[in-house]
Amino acid sequence: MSLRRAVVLAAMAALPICDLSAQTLPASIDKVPPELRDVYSQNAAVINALVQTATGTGRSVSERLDAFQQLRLSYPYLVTDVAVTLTKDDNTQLALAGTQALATRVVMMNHSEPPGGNHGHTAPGDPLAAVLEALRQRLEDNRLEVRAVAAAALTSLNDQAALSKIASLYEGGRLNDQEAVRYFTLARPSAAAGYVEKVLEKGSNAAQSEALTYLAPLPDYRGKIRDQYFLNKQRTEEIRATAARVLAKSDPLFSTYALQVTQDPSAPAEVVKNIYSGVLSKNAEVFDRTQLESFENSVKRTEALRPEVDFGPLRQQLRDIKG
Amino acid sequence: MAQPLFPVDRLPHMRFARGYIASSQSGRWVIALVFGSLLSPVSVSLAHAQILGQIEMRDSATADDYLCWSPVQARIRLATSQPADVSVTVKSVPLGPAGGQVQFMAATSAPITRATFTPVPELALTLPKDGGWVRFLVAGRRASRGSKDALIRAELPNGAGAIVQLPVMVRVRKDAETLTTAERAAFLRALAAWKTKPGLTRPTRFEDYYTAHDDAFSWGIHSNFGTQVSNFLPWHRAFLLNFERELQQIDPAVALPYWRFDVKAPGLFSAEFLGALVPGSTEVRFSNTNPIRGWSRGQGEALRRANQFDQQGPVSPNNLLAIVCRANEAGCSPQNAVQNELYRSVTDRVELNYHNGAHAGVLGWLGAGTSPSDPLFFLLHANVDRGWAHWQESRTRFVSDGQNEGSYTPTGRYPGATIPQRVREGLYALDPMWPWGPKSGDAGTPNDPRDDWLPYRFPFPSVPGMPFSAADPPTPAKMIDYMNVGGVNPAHGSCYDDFDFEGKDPRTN
Repeated sequence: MSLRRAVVLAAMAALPICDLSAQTLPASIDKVPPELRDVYSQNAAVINALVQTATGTGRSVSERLDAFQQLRLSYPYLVTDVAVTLTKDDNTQLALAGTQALATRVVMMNHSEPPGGNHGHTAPGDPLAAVLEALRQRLEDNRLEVRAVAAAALTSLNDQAALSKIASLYEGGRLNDQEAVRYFTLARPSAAAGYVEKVLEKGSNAAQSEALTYLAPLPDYRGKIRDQYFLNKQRTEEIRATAARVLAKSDPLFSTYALQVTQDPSAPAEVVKNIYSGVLSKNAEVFDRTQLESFENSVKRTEALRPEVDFGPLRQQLRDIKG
Repeated sequence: MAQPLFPVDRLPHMRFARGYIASSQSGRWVIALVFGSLLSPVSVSLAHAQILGQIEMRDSATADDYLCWSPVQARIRLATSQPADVSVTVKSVPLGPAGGQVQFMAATSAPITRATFTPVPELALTLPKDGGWVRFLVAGRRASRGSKDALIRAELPNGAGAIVQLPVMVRVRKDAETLTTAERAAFLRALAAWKTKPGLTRPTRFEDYYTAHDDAFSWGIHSNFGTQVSNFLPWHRAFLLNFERELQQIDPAVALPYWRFDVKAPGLFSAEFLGALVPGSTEVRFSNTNPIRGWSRGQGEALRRANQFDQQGPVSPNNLLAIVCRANEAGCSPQNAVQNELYRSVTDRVELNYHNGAHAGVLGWLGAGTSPSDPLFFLLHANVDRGWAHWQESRTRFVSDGQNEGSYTPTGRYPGATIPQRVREGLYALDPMWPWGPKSGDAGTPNDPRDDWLPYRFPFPSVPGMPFSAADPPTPAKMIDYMNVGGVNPAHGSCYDDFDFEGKDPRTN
């Protein structure tokens, strides 16, 4: 007997009423498409047993998880209420399972843009609105695993309420900058660039680097990243090197201002390396023989001046290009 | 003894008269050999009269010579008149130990179904002396590993040599983790080239794709949280086929791989393939030699994902099991005996559990309506489509007449504005689907939004000998029997590496 069947049978055996044919489904039957309600009604006893086991505090965690998983797989229209209950459970595994189920529900559904807000799901009792709200509540969950699932799902949907809440938690010190920027960068720039910019201005090195990778490719931020981060000698090597890597990929004018940095003996080694690597990667297919030779000569000159720069990977790349 | 001239792999690529044997420029090679004795597997002699032959697939010298598992019409003839009829045996010869293999069947006027499919590894044919065509059928038996690595060779009796051989490819959708380096590189090169292709309604075809998917969200391609009827499975099958054909216009040897998202995929989530996450970041990095490096959208946004799955899949293998199993099988729900017998009961389960689970695992660009902007979308959906194919296989749900609730609902055609409880036009089995159908915009009954479509449309890319074109748009019904195991609608020319025409796993061949 399979584990899942054993769980179902065990759950059914524990029901106080054993006349299974007399079972009726909970009120959430109205969430089942009309043409499938007969099938659900025929399986009412099994469904009720699964719901009771999944939400029953007297059951072991593994029994509850198995019952919930079986409910998800077999009776998906009746999962939401159970999942919402589980998201608040003290047990992290159960809370995570509930939150993941809600995230799985909410992605790839119809999310129209405002007006109307809430992705267009403004009608009272709208199932998507309820799921969104339950997920937003998890943003304040103290457990990182649970919070991260909710936050990543909502920000991927460009959920304004979630972005605003995450910003508030970050400003209030309840989320660190690396976690906050990680969520922000999953949303579109039209929804999240402003939040990412705040992290860029005052975050840690690691958070600033992440913010740079998000903002530097955007034309509206390119000039700022170039002048205030890449060319700014007051910035750390990590920040400038990240800016070099991203600008090299995204700014068509990068080589016009970046190669002069390679002539600066004070430019950090990692920055110099990323400039050359980025320029070559961007132009590998368009360089003709003359341009490639010119580039290689520039590398040689810099290598002579700056022996501490690791050009090993670049040399390999050049060999690959030249065949 | 006749002196051998040169082995077959050193034969110069000969050009012949148009309509006879096409040139290399058309991608079609027929190597003419000479009737003679053999010292090596195929060698030639000038000691005998020449007999040249010709083989065509799908009755066309210009059609692509690409196969899936479904039987395809082929024909063979002598290129020059001979004093008497000539007997030959057509055989499958793989190029290399891992080359593709085909199988054969005698021609029949009746449609080929699973019940009537009786392939053989070799087929004896008699070619008329006057050069008349002789028909036969060819089907893939083992997937190719490279472009046209399966030869259909017509050999004369008694080891007298071959009169013609036609290189073909058994081109199937494979698990992305099993692609060879060359297959992966070809796919990525085609993907990179496709991304910059001019669009029909947007600057690039790439933008066409992800905006069309987003636009169609509220028009029934998803079930909206299981609250509405959708054409989710057939619409995405058509969307993928459209995409795959556009890749094949760039490189005909490319088939869309699938991401088995219920197991780990370390190869796929690498910088050399569809990108690896920078640790602790949502940034996706590509190697400097990856053709799709720098993947971006809009005004330069760089690709973002929340998670990658190089250690385990985002959904449990139980997900697919729960969809395809029957009630009396181990680990299966009692409801499967009844509920899963109908399409309506399975489509939302495939969507809400199997498909959403993968999207929700990765998130970032893959977590919203514009998800085709992440190239992983296409591999994810190929696996969703494969999941539908598994369910179809488990219950033989291939009836494509548009009236069978087991295979698809809603059945029939959009019933018109006066019918209550009707759903949107384009969702019914026999309706053309947007964006490939003939309609766009507010073209139906005034003030009835259910027969309106979005204001732009795409012509389906046509391939000689295959279904679908601007004039033959996909309907849900036409998407059901993708291998034509029912012998009604033509096979799509796409198939998976783990089901052949007979429903067996061809990887064991």
